[in-house]
Amino acid sequence: MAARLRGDKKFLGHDIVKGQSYLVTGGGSGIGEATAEQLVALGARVTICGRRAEKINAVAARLGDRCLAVTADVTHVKDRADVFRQAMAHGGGLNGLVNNAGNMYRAPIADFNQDRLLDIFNQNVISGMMLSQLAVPALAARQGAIIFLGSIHTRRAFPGAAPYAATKAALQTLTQVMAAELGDQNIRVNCVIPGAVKTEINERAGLGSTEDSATRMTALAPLHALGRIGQPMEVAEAIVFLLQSKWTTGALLDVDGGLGLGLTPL
Amino acid sequence: MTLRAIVTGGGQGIGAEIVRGLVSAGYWVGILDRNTAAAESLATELGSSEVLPVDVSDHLAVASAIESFGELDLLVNNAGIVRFGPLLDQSADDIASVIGVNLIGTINCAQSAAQLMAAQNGGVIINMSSVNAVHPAPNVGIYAATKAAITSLTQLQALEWGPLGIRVNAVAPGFIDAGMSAPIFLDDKVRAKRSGGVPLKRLGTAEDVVQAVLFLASNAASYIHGHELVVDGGVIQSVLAHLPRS
Repeated sequence: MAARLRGDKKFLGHDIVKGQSYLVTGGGSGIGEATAEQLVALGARVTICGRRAEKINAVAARLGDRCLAVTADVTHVKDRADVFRQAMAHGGGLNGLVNNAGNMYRAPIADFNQDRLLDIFNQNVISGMMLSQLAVPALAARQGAIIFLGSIHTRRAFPGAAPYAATKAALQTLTQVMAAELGDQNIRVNCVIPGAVKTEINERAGLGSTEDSATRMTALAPLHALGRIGQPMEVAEAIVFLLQSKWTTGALLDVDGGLGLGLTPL
Repeated sequence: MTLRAIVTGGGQGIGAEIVRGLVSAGYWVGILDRNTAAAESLATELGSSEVLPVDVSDHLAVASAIESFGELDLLVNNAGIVRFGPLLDQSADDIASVIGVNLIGTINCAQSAAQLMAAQNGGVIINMSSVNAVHPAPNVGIYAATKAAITSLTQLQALEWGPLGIRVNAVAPGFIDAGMSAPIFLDDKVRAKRSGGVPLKRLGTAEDVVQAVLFLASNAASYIHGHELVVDGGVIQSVLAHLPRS
């Protein structure tokens, strides 16, 4: 028997994003790509950026004229300025910044490498902090919103994942401080905390081939109270909710199928 | 196909606004409330709804009313009361009443609803918590403890009922200028102080809460499970500690 479909994807205010302007970093794949796709589908203008031109260009080509691809590395000052300028021009201002770009660095404590630690904090945390700084005046003019991407790694401890987990915990704390600090400029700052979602970042974790990564992700399914891993679009939907929810700020929204609850088959 | 929901405490306050939101989103809504007059009046005004004249703390009455409602896609466990005052002054009746409605009531309704949903291929349950569950404020009596219990209950329901196809989450509103806390904000000084303490510089509206409920009820939240969504304009993680209730 087919499951009864519960509610469509329309909820109060879902149409608010129509005609608005968003910048999604790391928009070439995974959750960033799904977010851009959903925003465009709802009628928004979206600028995506990423380091790999072919990836983001392919996404923009698929999503059409309302999506602009800018090849950029957001760890670089000049690239951030360029992306921001182009997003402002493409969307005629900015309503939301989705700091999605991020990378993976796993290492047991004995193998910590200082340069790689600095690099992962630069990629995952500092680039988003500085891009947010750049965007604040524009966002204040539009009662806009900033989104960060946290991680299930802050809810459950996975041995070997300390570097990545620490960067994501930093983003979650950053969300709450920035929310308190930017509230009087009417800028909302929120964070989604995805559970196991199959995207490229898992392959970059050094977990082996695409097949190995898929097998490992599937093995995580029973640890979710909903019994399955998530889809990038399910995280994108939560991001869209937070972009348009007018009184939610400083929120850490778990989108994890109950993985964070700690279900452990014993 | 019409989706079917039950909203407890749906006759008045934020509950009534949730009922309005669901009816306008196309649901048929059961307004479960011991205040029958308020519930009847709302049902008459809105249509697409019916009244379940029940006290949530009455286990047998709840079980019978929810079972006879039949197909159920969504339960919003909204019924809640508060007895303001210092803990030292709370009477046995204050404590029992608040636990009876907020905690026992939530358990009663969720249990009956989950039994129906499990037999029908699943559903969605949304429990109303509070920022008091995250950081209690002085002088809210046993209310804060019942809301913290709802946080825990939400997690347990998610763990046990997720495999039955039931998605369970909570909404934790902050200072809302509606329902049970509306009287607090009639005092201009309190209103100014509380609004000023919210990073977004305003009190929340019933609509802010309704929007969160509709989101969690919808398939847009299909992977959100066991979560407590704080809707508070950012207040709970910033300055609540400096805003004692007086």
